[in-house]
This record gives sequence, C-alpha cells and structure tokens, in this order.
Amino acid sequence: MAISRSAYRRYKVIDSLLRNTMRPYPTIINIREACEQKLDLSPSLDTLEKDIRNMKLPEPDGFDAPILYCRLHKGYYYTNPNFSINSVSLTDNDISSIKEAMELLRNIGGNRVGDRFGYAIDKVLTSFKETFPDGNSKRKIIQTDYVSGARGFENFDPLFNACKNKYPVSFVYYSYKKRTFKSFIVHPVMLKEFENRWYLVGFSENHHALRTFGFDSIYQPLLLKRKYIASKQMEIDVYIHHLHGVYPIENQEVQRIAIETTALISNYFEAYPIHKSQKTNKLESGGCVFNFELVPTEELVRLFRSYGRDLKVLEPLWMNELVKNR
Amino acid sequence: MKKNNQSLVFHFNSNTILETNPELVRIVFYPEYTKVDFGYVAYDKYYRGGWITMAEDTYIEVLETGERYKLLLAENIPIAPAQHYFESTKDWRYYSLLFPPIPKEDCTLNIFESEEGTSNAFNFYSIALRMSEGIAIL
Repeated sequence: MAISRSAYRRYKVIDSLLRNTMRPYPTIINIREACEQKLDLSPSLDTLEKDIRNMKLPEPDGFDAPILYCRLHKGYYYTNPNFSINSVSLTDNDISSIKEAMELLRNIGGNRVGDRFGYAIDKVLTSFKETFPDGNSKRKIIQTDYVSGARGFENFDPLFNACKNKYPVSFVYYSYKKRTFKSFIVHPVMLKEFENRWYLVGFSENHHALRTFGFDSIYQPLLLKRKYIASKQMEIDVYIHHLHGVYPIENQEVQRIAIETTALISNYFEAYPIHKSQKTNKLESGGCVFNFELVPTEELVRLFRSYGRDLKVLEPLWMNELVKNR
Repeated sequence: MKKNNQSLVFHFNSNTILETNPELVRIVFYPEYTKVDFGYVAYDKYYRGGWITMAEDTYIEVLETGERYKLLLAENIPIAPAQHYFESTKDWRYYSLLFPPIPKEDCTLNIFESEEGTSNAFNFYSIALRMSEGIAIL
C-alpha cells in the first residue's frame, strides 16, 4: 500500500508532537491544530485517527509506531520515547545522492528494480522533506541498451531469491542448439548479466558441474527443500574473474590469449578493456598486441570474429582456427 | 499430516528425441492439483510445423487403483477444437496440464489424450512414480 505525500506530511506533524517532551500527551484536537499551523490545512478528526492507526501498522505499510492512548492524561504517546519515524539522519547531500542513484537504477535495472526500490526510497525521502519535489523522471538522461519484455526476466525474483538463500531450483530448460526440453536441478551460485542478457550460474546435478542457463530458456523455476550443494570456490572464481561472457568452452582452463589488432581496432580495445587482465603492447604501425589471462568462451570467439581481418588471434592456435572458421 | 501437504516434483529426462509426442519433463504433486509439464518441438513433417491442441477429455489413470483424474486446465496449449499453429518447423512450446490431486503413493500412471492411442495422440504409458524419489518443494 503506497503512502500519499499528504499523509506523510501529517505523520511528520504527529511524530513531532509525540516526541515533544515539553508538551506530552497531545490530544487529537492538539494534532489538528498543529496541522493547521504547520501544513495550512485542517484534516478531519477521522483522518487523523486513521493516520495514527496507519502509523502503527507494521512496515512496509506503516512505521510500526508504538503509539498508545493514555486514559489518565487523555492524550497519545510513544511507548518507546526514543522512537521517531525519522530514525536515520540524512543531509541534503545524502538525499540528492540517493535520488541520483535511484535514477541510475531505474535506467539500468528497468522497472523491476526501479519500482520496488523507488517505493522504499520515496518513503525514506518523504520522511525527511516537508515537500518532496517531483523529479523530472520522464526526461531520460542516461540511456542503456535495456529493452523491456525479455523472455524469462519474470523469473528474476525467484532466481535471485534462490541464489541469495541458497535454495536448489528445479526448472525446465529448452536448448536452442539441441532443440530439446529437459528438467534440471541446479544449485544456484549467481545471476550474471552479459550484453543485456541474464543468466543463472549454478551447480547442475545433471552435469555434475557448474553450468550457465539463459533466463530466456528457463521455464517455471521451483525452489526446492533439498540440501544445497556448494560449488568449489575455485570454480566459482573462474566464472567471476576469468570469463568474458558466460559460456566457457568445454575443457579449457585459464590460459594466455594473445591477439593482434589493427590501429583502428586497437583504439577500441584500449578505450574499453574487455577484461581486467588485458595487457597492451603497442606496435610501430599503431596496431597492438593484447594479452589476456582468460578461459576461452563462446562470446570471446564471437567478439574476435566480429572484427574480421582487423583482428588476428596469435595464441592459442586452436582459437585462431576457430575464429577463422566462421 | 504435514507430509501429505508437501508438494513434490518428479523429473523425467529421456535421451531420445521423439517426433510424434511431446516430451514429458516434470510432474508436480501439489495439495490442490497435479501438474504435468511438457515440451513440444515442431518438426518438418508438417507445413510450418503444423499445430497442436489438447483434447478436453484428457485424463490420468492410476494403474494400481484404476482411478481416473480428468483434465482441469491446460496452460499454454489450447483445448480442442482450438489449435495452436506454429509459424515454423523450428518452433517449440512449453505447456502444462493440470489434473485433480493424485494421492501421494507409489503408483504407475498413464496419461491419455485418446484411448485409441493413435500416433497423433499425446499419450504416455506406464510412468512409474516412487514417492521417495520426489523432491520436496519449498
């Protein structure tokens, strides 16, 4: 349930009255008078009583505020005198930074992250600002290549949950190459995004090894009550640190990969290193020899092929052949 | 009591590629219903992969008891006479059939779309289920 901005402003007034030790136990009439003074509006008594009920609701709908009515003093009070709906202090700079981060997240993560995070952050920010000016959210100032509607992205939340809590997952997977459906049990390690596509990396019981599964081919994941099989950290590290892409070529270890590029293409590799292990040897021609320490992947082969004659694989030789044989 | 409410999933993976039948990939025993998941891959026998449909009177038969469980709902596949037409011979379709809950006991199932057992019918025979092999769902 979203909380309106006007309700937040009244909550702020109620909170300040309940925390005022000089004039404790405000009555509902006192609260209305304070709203008239501070907000320049006169809410009905019903509205204010509803506000108090809502503030007492557990999060995320309310603030879990410990408000009680004291029959002796005929007014409201916090049972925990240290309670406030503003329990974190934020400076204007903090608030500005959060808004920028939110805008960035909306652009990168699309609506899925943006909406959920946005609601939580709206709540935080409106607690601190009497007025919460609308951001110019429709004016896009960062554009990423995110396109909504990707198949399988609706499974992001359950798969994220499975990774986070180490729940094995059952799902049906369709292989584009083999044109077969198979059911899998995977012990998830992480979600990985590469070139705007999302993948699940986990220990596959079917393969007895770490494998990558594209979100687009995963159908109806079910979280399982089953002992989680933890993958070896060394194997996970390969996926985290030594891959360009997501699908390692079978039976290949981390190895030195060397390419030679023309002057034109060298500019791009220098400007946008494809891996942290990238090392550059500039040639007199303006071209470069780039060295990497990587596990060869299908995506790396595809990248090298995309440069045609402007790129030559020097090492390993088998990769040179693979890139040439398109 | 707790055990009876536990949902269980069974996996099936054949290593052969069938052309006339969909692939049976999972059966899930929920307290409210039994769900059977299939994958169908179009092939080049028919123009643009042809079409698929599911007969309304499809049912599961438990061989041990003779009990029949009639189709409640089909997800992602139309009920006859409606048809889903593929657009190419390389298309595929994941779909599920929902039946009433089957008792969680070791059993052997037949799934009948057509009792005549024509080559076009989506029939499956003698699916053995051992409850101890089912995997509990959270």
